[in-house]
Amino acid sequence: MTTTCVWLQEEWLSASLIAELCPAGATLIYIFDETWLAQRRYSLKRIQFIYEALLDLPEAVEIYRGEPSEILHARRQNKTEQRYLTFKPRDPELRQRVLDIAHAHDVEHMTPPPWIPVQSQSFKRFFKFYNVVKRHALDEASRDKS
Amino acid sequence: MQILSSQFSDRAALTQYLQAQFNDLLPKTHRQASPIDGSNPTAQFIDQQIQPAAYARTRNFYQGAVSQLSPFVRQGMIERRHLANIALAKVGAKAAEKFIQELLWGEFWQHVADQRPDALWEDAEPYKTGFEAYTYKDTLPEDILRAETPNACINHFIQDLTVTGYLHNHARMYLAAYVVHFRRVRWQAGAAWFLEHLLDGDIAANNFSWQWVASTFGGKPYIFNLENVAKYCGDVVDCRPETNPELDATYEALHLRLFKRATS
Repeated sequence: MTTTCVWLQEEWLSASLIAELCPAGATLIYIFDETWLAQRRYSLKRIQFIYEALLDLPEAVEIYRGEPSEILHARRQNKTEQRYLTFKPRDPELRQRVLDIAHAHDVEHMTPPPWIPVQSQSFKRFFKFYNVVKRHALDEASRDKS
Repeated sequence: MQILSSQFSDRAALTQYLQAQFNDLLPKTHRQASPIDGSNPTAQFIDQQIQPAAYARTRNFYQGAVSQLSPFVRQGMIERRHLANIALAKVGAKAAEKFIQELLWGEFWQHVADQRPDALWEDAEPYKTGFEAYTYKDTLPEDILRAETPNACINHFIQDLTVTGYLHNHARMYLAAYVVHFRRVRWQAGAAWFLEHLLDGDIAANNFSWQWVASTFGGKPYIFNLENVAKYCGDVVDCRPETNPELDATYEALHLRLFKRATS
């Protein structure tokens, strides 16, 4: 059986999403990325909020502080996990950082399904966007309701 | 590399632990915990927080029926789609539309960020204030960081931001307009400050909203006056003219004072 490690990202701390997309029995890890924290200067409020969300997940999460590259490299050396997965962040800056690290350490990334399908058209003003997606949003919501 | 603990006797013990573990990364002003707990909200709590009809009527008021669930949305603990479904189930499409529209703003900003990642920290367009970008200050003045500006209502909003990590949307706009237009600080300094503190801090919504206020992503600068703050926040925030001297003026007077070199 393939053993899997899932590197969680701060924008996808959903128990249902993890249950849906992650292989059963996967080890969950979260890394408080020192470079990222220094870049964004997160206050303790934000760090603690994320920490509490992690502690409240139904599956145990191994929580680290450090550089993701070093931690993933060390796990590769010391653990028996064969497959590594992560979630693709929505934040473009975090996404770039995570995908760069993922690429360097052979980590596959998962993209959770979007609520609004990606638009090929470019919208500069909200109401032009809204007029295009409104029907989908309300229809989708209606479908889920039933 | 450091493995962190998962066992704490109570919330205060967690706060103390995190203060010690992250001490070297936290500026002095950033070491308080928020009263808002990041544990997964219950279905009952989420349901209670969604009041679409009241939201449509009162969302601009400081005490209005906003859900305050945005920190959980930011962390992916609740999907916007799920909130839309609850709203729709409660009141139907017509009455839920304003609430769902608000949820879609988040999707819109994400769309813009994906289309224009270059504009996350750069001016998407020139300022329409009559001033060139280089004339704006690069950093926030100390009195703003310390919530010691000459204006009581602004200090109240800053306290909310830095103590709780949550701020009503209207107050975010007031604060952004104050920073950029009344104090002539680049929007980037304010946007970064919000991202440090807001539990729901999302770079797409945050930075493009700051740009919208600044007029670098919109047709004109957003400003407000004390009368407007009093209308929407006066029941909980000190809006007396004598304690808010910079804001107590008509829009005409403020336009002359703040944008006197503007061409439009």
